Amino acid sequence: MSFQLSRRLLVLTVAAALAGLAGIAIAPVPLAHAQQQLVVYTYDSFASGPAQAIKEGFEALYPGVEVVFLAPGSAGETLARLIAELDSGGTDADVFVGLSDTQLARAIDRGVFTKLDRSLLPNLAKVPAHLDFDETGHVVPFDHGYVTIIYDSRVLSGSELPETLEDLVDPRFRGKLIAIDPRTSSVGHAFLMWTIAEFGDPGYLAFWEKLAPNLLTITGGWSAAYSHYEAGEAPMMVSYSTDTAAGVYYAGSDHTRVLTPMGQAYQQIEAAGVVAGTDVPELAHRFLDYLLSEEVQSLIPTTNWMFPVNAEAPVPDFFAQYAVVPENPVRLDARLIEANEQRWLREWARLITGLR
Amino acid sequence: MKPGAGRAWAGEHGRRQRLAVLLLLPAAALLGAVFYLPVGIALVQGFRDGGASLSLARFVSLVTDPYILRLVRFTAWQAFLSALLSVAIGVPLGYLLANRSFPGKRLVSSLVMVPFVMPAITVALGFLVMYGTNGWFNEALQAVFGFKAQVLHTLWAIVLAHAFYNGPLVARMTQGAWERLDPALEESARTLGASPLAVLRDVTLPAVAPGVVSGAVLAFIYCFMSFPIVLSLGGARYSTLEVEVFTLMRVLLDYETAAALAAIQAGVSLLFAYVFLRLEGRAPSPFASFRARRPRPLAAKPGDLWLWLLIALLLVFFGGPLMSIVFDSVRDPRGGFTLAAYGRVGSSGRDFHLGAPPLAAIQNSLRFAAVAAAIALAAGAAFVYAVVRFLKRRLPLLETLSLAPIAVSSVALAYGLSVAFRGPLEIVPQELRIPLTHAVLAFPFVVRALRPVLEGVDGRLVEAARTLGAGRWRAFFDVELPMALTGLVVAFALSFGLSMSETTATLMLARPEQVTMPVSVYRFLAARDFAGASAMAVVLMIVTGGVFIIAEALAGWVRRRHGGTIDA
Amino acid sequence: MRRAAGEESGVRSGVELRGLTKRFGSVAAVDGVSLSVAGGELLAVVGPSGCGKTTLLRLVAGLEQPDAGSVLIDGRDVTAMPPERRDVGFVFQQFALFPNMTVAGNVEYGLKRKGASRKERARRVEEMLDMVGLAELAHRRPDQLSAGQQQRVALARALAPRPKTLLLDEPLSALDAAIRVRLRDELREAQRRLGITTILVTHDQEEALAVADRVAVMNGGRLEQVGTPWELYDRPRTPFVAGFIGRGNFLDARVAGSAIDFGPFGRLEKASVPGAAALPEGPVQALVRPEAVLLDPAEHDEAGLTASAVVEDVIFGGERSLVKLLVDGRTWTAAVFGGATQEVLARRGRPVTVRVPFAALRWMPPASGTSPRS
Repeated sequence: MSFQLSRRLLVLTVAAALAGLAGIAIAPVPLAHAQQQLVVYTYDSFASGPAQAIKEGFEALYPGVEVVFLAPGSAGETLARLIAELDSGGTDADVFVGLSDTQLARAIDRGVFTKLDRSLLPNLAKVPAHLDFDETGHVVPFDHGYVTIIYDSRVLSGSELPETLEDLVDPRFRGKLIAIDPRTSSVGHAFLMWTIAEFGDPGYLAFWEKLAPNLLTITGGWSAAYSHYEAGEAPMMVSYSTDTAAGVYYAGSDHTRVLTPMGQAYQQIEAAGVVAGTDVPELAHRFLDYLLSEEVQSLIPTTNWMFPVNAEAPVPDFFAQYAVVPENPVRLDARLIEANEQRWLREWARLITGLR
Repeated sequence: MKPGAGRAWAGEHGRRQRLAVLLLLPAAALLGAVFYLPVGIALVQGFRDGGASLSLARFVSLVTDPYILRLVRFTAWQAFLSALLSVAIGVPLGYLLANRSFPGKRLVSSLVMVPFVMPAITVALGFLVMYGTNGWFNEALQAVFGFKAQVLHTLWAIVLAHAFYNGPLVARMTQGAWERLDPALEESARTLGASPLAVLRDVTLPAVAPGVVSGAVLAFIYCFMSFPIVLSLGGARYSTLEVEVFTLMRVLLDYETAAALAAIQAGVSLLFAYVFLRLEGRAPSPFASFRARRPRPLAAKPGDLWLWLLIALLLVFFGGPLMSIVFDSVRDPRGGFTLAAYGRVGSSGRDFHLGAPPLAAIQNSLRFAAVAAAIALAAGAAFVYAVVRFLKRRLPLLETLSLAPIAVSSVALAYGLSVAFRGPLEIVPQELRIPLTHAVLAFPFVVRALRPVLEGVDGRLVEAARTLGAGRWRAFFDVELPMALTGLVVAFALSFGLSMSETTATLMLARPEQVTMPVSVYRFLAARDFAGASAMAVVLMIVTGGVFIIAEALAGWVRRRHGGTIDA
Repeated sequence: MRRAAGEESGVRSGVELRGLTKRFGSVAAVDGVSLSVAGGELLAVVGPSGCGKTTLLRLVAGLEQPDAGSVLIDGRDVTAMPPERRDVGFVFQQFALFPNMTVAGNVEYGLKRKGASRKERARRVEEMLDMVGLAELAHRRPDQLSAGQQQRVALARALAPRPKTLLLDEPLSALDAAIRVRLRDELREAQRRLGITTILVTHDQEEALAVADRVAVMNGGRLEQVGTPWELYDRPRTPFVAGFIGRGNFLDARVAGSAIDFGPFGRLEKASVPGAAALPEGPVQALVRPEAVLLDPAEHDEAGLTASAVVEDVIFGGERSLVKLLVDGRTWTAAVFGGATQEVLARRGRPVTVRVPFAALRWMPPASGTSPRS
């Protein structure tokens, strides 16, 4: 009996295996490889944004080169993967695009990047010195932006608006702000850094404790937060200073406005570098330089909703009109972040989960 | 074993042992290479103290940390509540599917697993339209009762969303168990003087319980490991352990602490699973039937009114968020409605999809899911057969081991896999990496869906061998195989659906040309195209639903071909 | 020992069915069945698969609700009563033992539901298991028993609460041949001893004839005939019953005026055939049981119809063997007993004279649709 049944089972197994093989058989055959491949690790919204245009532009400039973008997640996740691969013996990545300034110290300590040969990056000359933040010469900035509070001008206006960060804790904003988790989102992370810059350590904890009742929720990522905001769940949200421009671009409406309390917003600079151990260092440099060219830089506003770093890159008129540049951008020192980040995030998480 | 029987089986013994090993081989190879090896790579980090020495200190400091303990408590609590609500929703639905007939039942039973495959982020968006302050639910509440209820950003939103995912799972498992329960058992209890309530307590529940427990265990572990749903709907206040693992591993790059925490997390969820399985293991469940259940039609009479109400409620509960996603996909950000998003999904070259346009994503998903389901079903069926038939006594342990793929942090697994595929698993062709990983993740679901089925079939075959032979074989083909089909279809739907919806590992492993539908959903979202994301989710819904309908129709065809006639 | 209770109390004991009808969709599984089973009687319901006999039993138990008609048990109308209050014991075809309970637990279950005390239950379980000879298996689980043992447990379980009525649905069909006959006799013996009103549903006419006080033959949801085994065998009222119960030969004839044409058996005057006076004009049919067919009749044997035939085959059966005969191209069956067998065996393939005594002719009513089983 068991023999008969196992034979039936065998038939089933063979059938399943055949089905599997058939599945592989109908798989598309990978295209013939180009002479040279340049693998670029980046974060998801960069891949969804300017990546395709960059790939096409660079491949046109350098015939025989194929650019492969891989985006396994957010900037942090992608960096984590890159470091894991380097730790375990090697990576395919030649270039990393999207390192945030707060991650720099950690990335350099883990030996992710090679030192750049600046002579191969002529376009770097067009980048203002205050944006070229890496004194160690491992990475170059390719765009920057400002994290702040956006609000729905149809709900809040004029005197109702907070004038300082401190104002956000006012009881009149109870349940009116959507924040984003600093552990899972770079926007949320930037906002937490801003509060630390503003209120000091451990002053930021007292601020968050008072802020908590005014937070409708703290979502895991920007998309969830923005959809809550758009659905009218709350009139304020932690987001980018380019959101009015994006609202005009996508929905033809400028009802979303940007707050810059005391002329402040937290500045994020995103950088790119050549991955240590790449076998095409020269090509990688050329790619970075291309990233800094006006051709790519002028794409940044409407595809990545950030500001270009190349001062000569033209930006669309509506972007120039609606994207807000704060008078007093705020930044925390990267070394300070590296030294304290784990504790800050842990303390923040303890506070927030304890307030439930 | 009885002494006499022992001698009789002595010659058999070696052969059975070899067969058992042979049957366990595919599962062992699959789990060993694509699960235990990468997880081992990831977890061993937790024992490393700076250098090469293994350390328990990290574990001790973690389990004595009140913050971590609070996370463990909350994670278990929300998982428990979620599993409870999943059972509360799944059992009545399973009852309806197994026992009653109503218009559109076949469609419902095919589509019931669709919620299970929806990407977390789209469900979160759907819940927003459904349960938001200005959502449908609150508008209705306002219109009827004059008040609104805060559902989102509370524990209830998490629990509701988890039940939305896992209710169908429990329902399918319950349905499977119920369909296999011999109606004569309930009837004989009635003739022995048991009231309907006593029958429920003494016969029906013991028979259906293994199915319910199966579903509940899966639901519990699933919710214990959950994280995008928790963060999107509840918010950071409701952080689970997995968020902490994610933070440590992906943000702070503290692999050591992350690995230690992931080990603790897996330990806790597997401990729960083991306890459940032990409890369940006490009650043998050969309630298998020779007579097919004849579903009673739902009638338009007062006695069935509550069931009609239940159907309406379930329709709203499951249909609401799904319809919300459809609604989202046709909403024009400039006001009004438009099908433009579907144009973007259907276009052959959305530039942000890089290596694969949206249409290729559909093809990729279907291919990966088909291969993954085939692998998971083959390895799972062989595993379950070996365990049920030859290794019955080790069942709770073996089954707990087989459950491990969903009990280990997906963040940790993805990390381990990305390392392993660069090292020892480098020989695995790129095209097979994603399906193999999906097959591993689906394996626990396949095992849970198939075990009660094979157990039932098995019990009867033993008896058949004891008595006649031919007559019983006939019975096997006529009645039991058609009934086992429900289990097979469930196992297929689960593994196929799981592969269709898996994102964490896929993102980690995918080459640009290997974009799948949920990955495409995230791509649309990252490009701020909310309608496009919803449209892609709707396509995912339709494609998966279509596959489920075809599978169910095939099973129905086999069932009819071998369908037993009932002696009236 | 318990006697049929009704007889003492004066109420009419037993089961009575009045115009019982049950439809499944458009099919009437049970179609206007009226029937009464006396207290202590064993009535067997037989019929081909799908004839409605199981549905009939389930209607009595209350497991199905009739569309029309009523069920009376010991004179009480129980039609609207749920099964648990009808006081019936039911044995299912596959025994339906509770797999999550031991043998003793199974037997005890009905007593528990009836609210018997712990002591009473223990005593009764022991008594019942002793009765079926399974006392030593009390703590086994059903899946550790053989089919025959399971059947005994099912019977013990059904009888334990002392039901007024015992309903058996193909209780022996899941067993193999040897054990079937033994359990059949045990079943009959227990039923007689307890004097419990019993309805036995079976597709096996031999089983029915062997154990039943009376047999009801069902076909297409209707009762064809109810009677003692002998009545059904000797005086079947329809070709269906004739064909279903026992073996038989059908003799086709044609009445034309005052004469009857018996085909190979010749043509006789109506008046010379006893019992043929009332036959209608046209084709008629008579049943002839095998044992009535005489081979090579002697002159002094009973008067009857005579024809010549060929011995085609002999199926040896010990005390009784069956002879296949070819009469004018049609196969007939005759039975021979004891020593005669030896003689017939020697004549395979040879001609023989057959005679059917007039007294053995059982005239059938004009055929009513269903053709009998051969």
